[in-house]
Amino acid sequence: MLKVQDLNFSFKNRPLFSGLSFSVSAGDLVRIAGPNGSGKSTLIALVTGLISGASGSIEFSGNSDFRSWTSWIAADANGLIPSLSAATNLQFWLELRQPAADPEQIRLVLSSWGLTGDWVQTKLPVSKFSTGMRRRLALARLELEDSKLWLLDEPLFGLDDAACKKFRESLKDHLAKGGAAVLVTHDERIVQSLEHRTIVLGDQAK
Amino acid sequence: MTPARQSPSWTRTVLNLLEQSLKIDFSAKERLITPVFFAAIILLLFSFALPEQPPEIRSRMMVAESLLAVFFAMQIALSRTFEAERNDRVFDHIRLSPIDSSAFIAAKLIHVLVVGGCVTLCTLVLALILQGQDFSLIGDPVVVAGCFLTLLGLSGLGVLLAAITLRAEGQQVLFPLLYFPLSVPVLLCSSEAIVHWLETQKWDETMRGWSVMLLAFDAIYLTMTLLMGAESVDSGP
Amino acid sequence: MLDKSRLSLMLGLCILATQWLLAWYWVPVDDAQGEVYRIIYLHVPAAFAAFTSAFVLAIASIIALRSKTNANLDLSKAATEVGLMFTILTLATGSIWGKPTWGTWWTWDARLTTTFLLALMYGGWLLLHNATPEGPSRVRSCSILGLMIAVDVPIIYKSVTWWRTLHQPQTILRSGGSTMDDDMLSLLLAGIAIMLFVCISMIFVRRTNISLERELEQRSLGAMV
Repeated sequence: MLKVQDLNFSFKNRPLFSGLSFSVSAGDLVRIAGPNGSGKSTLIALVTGLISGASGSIEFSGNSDFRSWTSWIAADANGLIPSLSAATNLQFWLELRQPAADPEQIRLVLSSWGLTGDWVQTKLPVSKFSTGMRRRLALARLELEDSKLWLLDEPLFGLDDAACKKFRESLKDHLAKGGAAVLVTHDERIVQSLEHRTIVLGDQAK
Repeated sequence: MTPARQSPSWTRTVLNLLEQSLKIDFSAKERLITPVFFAAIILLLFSFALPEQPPEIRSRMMVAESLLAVFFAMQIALSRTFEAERNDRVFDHIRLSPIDSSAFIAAKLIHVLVVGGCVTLCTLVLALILQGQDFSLIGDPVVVAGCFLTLLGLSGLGVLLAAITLRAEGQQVLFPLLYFPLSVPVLLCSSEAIVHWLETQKWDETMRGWSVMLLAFDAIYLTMTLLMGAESVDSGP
Repeated sequence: MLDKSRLSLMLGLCILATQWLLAWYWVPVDDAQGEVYRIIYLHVPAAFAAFTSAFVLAIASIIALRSKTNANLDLSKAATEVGLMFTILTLATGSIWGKPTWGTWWTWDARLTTTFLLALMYGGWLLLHNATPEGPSRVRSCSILGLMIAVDVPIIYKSVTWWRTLHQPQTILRSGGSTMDDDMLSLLLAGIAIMLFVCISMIFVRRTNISLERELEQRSLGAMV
């Protein structure tokens, strides 16, 4: 699905990583680890193409637009329109990927993430949500987008134990169905019982 | 997981993006009311600043006042074009959605035109009342076409400038500094054409000249917006 | 060490100084305006240089848009800075000339309005450049604006001239340029050519300086790490 070869990146003349290579295939879970400032989020941003300026190659398999089969979760934001409700947000984002979104499916997935009730789902604007609720909504979108490759940067930020457990289940299902994920996290619990590879950043910069 | 999924069409994407922009406007109504309110204030200021006009130049004054009021009010609406997308990295999520960036720009352009149309209509009605003019003016096809072409030019320019100042610091201040000088020709051509029409009711050489120039500016700004605006959306930080 | 562009600039400035001396002592006094008309030898070449900078900005913007590198944006920045300088010089000399001949420092004449708009656009470009963080988005944003300015300038000039020509034809043609004698005209044309040479040299010298400044900044940051 994804092949990163000999990737080098410097930020303001400070090398973050050099000669970094890895590949991600169906069913793979690749964890990116390393201390703060080692370039984990930068690596995800480079893979998505949100930032440029690295040498080396980042290749996605197939000829189709990689954005149609990848989903992204940012560490510091959820990508939600604050004045719209949870259901309207999901409908909007899904309809950028597919001709029509099923409102019933949206309701079911929202409920499975603990965002229950008509008021919370369709009336309350997202700006009134707590940090944890917004993260749950972003993860509900990830599940609904049904992409082959997940690029996740600290997905558990602001979540309680129940939501963490739900996320692990969701990730497990995704991998079992032949999906893959690149995961940046400091939280060992997510990957504990899942087969994964770890890439540690930070050593190369020193 | 669905391996091969049908993507929405370009038109469907534009409609989806437009629908969300309008929903955002209606959920926070101040976004629609503020420009209209601002245009009304400018018309009021004109009434203080300018002495009582003789009847023969009232139509000329009304056109000048209305266009300037719309121009300033549009500046507020246009500078906020990408405001919703600047929050919570919504813009980055849109860039990572499998859509053509020209669809995003086209949706923004139509959205601004819709908002601008509402602002222009309200401003014209107010100006007609304040200047004691005949309401049939709003039904005059040449005046309507002139207003539409002015809006088209201002919207094209505004959306492009909003896109290129998206990542700039102090965007709210920078936007009018770029928007004002570049919009002068559009305002000049449209006001001259509309005034000439109101005064002569003739489709003569002067009228044709100003109209062609207005169309030329609209074409330049719209083409640049659709081509370069999309480029600007695609570019990284 | 002097590079080619610096040498060209120094040479151009020397010739320009000679042209000004000739303008001061050699060409005859104008019958209608007296000594004050001599400012034409600075004003008109400066105006040509101001508009030529917009042309250079257009070319530099196209190159920068295609290559998407900061290095190519340096030429755009240099053209804009030099263009702004010449535009201000044009406005200032025009005002100085306008006071004794038209009796006012400023009037909303077609050429004055266009030149004033050009100064605002150059200023806007520099503000955008300073306000946007370094990277691909700065290259793209500034190049798009640069192209817009260059495309707009001739059409704005046309529309504003038409606007004023239609309504106040008497206020435009005041300086009586068409009655110039051969010596006056040839020195003026030579002055325009020299000023264009100086303008282009300045742009290239400034571009080199901007590139050096950036390189120095990067090296300093590298040394700190």
